[in-house]
Amino acid sequence: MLSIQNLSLDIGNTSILKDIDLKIEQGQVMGLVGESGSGKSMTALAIMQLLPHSSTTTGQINFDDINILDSDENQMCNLRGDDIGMVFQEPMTALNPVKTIGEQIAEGIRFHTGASGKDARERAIEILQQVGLDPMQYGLDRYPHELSGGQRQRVVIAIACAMQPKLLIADEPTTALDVTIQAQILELLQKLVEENNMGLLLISHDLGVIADTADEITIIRSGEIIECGPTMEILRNQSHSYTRQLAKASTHVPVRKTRPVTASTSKKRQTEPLLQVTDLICEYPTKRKSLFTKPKPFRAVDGVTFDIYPGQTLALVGESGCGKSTLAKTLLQVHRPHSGEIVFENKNLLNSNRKEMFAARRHMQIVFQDPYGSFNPRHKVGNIVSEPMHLVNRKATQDELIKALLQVGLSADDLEKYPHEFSGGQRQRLAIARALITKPRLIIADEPVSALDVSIRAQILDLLNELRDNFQISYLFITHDLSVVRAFCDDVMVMNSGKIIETGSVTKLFDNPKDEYTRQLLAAAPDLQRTLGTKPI
Amino acid sequence: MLYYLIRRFTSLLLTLALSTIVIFMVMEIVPGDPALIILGIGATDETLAALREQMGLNLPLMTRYLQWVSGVLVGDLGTSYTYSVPVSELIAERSIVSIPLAIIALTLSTIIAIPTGILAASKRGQIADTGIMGLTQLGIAIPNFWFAMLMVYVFAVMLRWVPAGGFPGWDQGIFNALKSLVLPAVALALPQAAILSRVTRSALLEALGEDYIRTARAKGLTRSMVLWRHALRDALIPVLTIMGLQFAFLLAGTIIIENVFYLPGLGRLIFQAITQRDLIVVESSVVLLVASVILINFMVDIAYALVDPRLQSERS
Repeated sequence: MLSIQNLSLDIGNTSILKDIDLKIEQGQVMGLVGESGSGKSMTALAIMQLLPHSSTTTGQINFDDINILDSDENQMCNLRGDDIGMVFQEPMTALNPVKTIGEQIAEGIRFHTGASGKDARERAIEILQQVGLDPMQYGLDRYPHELSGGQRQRVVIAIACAMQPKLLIADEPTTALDVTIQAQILELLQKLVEENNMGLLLISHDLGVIADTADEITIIRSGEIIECGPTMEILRNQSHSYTRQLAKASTHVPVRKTRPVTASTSKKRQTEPLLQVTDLICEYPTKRKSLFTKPKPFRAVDGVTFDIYPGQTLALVGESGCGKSTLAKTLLQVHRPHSGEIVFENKNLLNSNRKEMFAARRHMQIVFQDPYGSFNPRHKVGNIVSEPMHLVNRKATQDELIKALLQVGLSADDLEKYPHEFSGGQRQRLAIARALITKPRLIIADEPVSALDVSIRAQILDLLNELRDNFQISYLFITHDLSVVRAFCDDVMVMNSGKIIETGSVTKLFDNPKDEYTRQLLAAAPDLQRTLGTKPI
Repeated sequence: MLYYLIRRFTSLLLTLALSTIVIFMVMEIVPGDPALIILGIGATDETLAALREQMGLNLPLMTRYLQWVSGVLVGDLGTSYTYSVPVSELIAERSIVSIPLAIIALTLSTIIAIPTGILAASKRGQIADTGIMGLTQLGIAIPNFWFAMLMVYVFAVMLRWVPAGGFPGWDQGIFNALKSLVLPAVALALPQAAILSRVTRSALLEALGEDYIRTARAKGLTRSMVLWRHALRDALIPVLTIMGLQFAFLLAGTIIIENVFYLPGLGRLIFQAITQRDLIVVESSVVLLVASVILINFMVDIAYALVDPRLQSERS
């Protein structure tokens, strides 16, 4: 149905795609896998002819018997949204905030069929039902901001599938969603493929997702196709070195030289905990609903109690909005908690003065998720890395700065550079160097590898592992990615709506989850090895 | 929606109350004794004291403030020291020039700015865009009094289509009155239109870069449909903001143009009152202007809510 031959794409003078070949049949799911910048999305946009200006394409894209590259804008408008639909990554911004979802779904129907407003609305209701949104509850008059991320993604899918397209292109449709929602959306896409006998081009960086969903797989790197064929065959044989590298990186487990430190072993050895959190409650004020009653505050963290021992890596997992980040910020004293106790190195942080707090903070540092947003772009690396030194009331010496950079695998020459001169992975190394400069004993890592490609992710995990081996650093590792938890952490806490619902060592809890919510979370998480082990070829 | 309106209205009242205090205090602080100014430097101490007593200048601060505010509330703005006529009459007399002038200028500016802004955005980087943006640069850079003089020379002196200045009054026929407002309105509108056109263009371009525009394109909509149906409504918010500010400015900030065209507008009234220490006129007209600006902002707020449903929901 769709056949791409020798597709090459240049934007300006940069070559983005080279000789891409790709075929999709009706009812088939084609997974397109690659790391960021590999040209996955550009392939999709080339099919839709929604490429940025100043791009030139050569080769052939044939859809049924239409030659897409030769079609003019009018022909493309008739094709887009009718025979080819597209779903995008970010459901929060993919819908127009000032129009109702009904208007947005009906719009395409009216454009392509010339249907009356009433007919289009009726059709929109049917489609909403098909994508699993009950029209009684999520009526056409709802605005996007009244829906959650997963629900919005369903609306985006409804828009794309309104005309029952022959081909649906889904560009990282679940990357921005929680694992349980991800599982639901993938299930929905598969259902639509079956019901409408539709072809699906599923673009993802996640081999686990592709292994679960796709019949065929195409692996792409720097604009060139590395390998393609039946998913299970390709992923089991791993005959190409890059495929092997990708698969290995996504299931990478850092080699630990020291023994794991779990809460139970530490208790046995009667080690003093490094951090003790008792009954911590954090609240946010909410909007006043009535003039006469006081608004009830929202409890983001609700009675959380846990300990971290020296050298222990404790994972904190949970879906977005469960209170993970609020907990982290409260530990760092960015927020004041409503009540509870935080004892760090035997000092109660909540009733300590500024000076004591500085001393505590020196031993407690943070690494954030977004390696692009967490540096001042106009500061040099030397400045950035030495920033936390105000906690010890002196400037970092040149030697200390160089040592910190060397520890994270950067070089002394990098001191004079600016953040934009580094790649995403290098920036995350910078963030770690900044955390290391005060010789911390606890690093709070808030989704430190979530924004990174799998191969870079493996390197950063190795680095964090090395630091843990060499300096006996403890980590509070906040993540939604369970495969990282399994690979890297000693203990794990599962958080849901502000409460810790289950705690235990990673192996025990993952193999034998007690709580229903934990079970759901584990079942929903894509797991490459599990899939490869169970799915028939 | 109701909640949003109540909240906006409460803040409107508070701002208004606060502004009366600030205006009153500022007028107290500025040096210059109104009584002395009325009577001239030759006045004796006794006559000065008598006049102060008569004008109520000796009463405590609080009392005078309350007297003034309660007067304003019932429409009694006091009597001008210099003109010896009720201030409300003075202001009304000037408003019938200033308000129509502001409305005409704003309408003109909107009619010019929105289409050119949309055209520039939809032809981004092409000749139309470059041309329009060049003209708007010029429109912002050229001082409007200079442009006004140029227009007077061409349309009043050479072509004799319109009078060079002055205002005959509405009783001389609407057409005649409007004729004398045309040039000032154009002079006022051009720089405003230039700014508004640039704002429209950049707001539209920003909206066109949003993710949901791509979604709309993926639905099959053409470029122009996407622009009219999706981008324009989103771009309206910054445009409305600027329009609100411009209307407020046009009501009273037009003193230079009023002088160029000898128009008896509010700007000149306030200017003369300040130079003559006619405090009561200054206070009252400033309060009225502040009130109208706040009212315009309130209307802009309502317009926001109509454009953006997120503002209507109580949670946001």
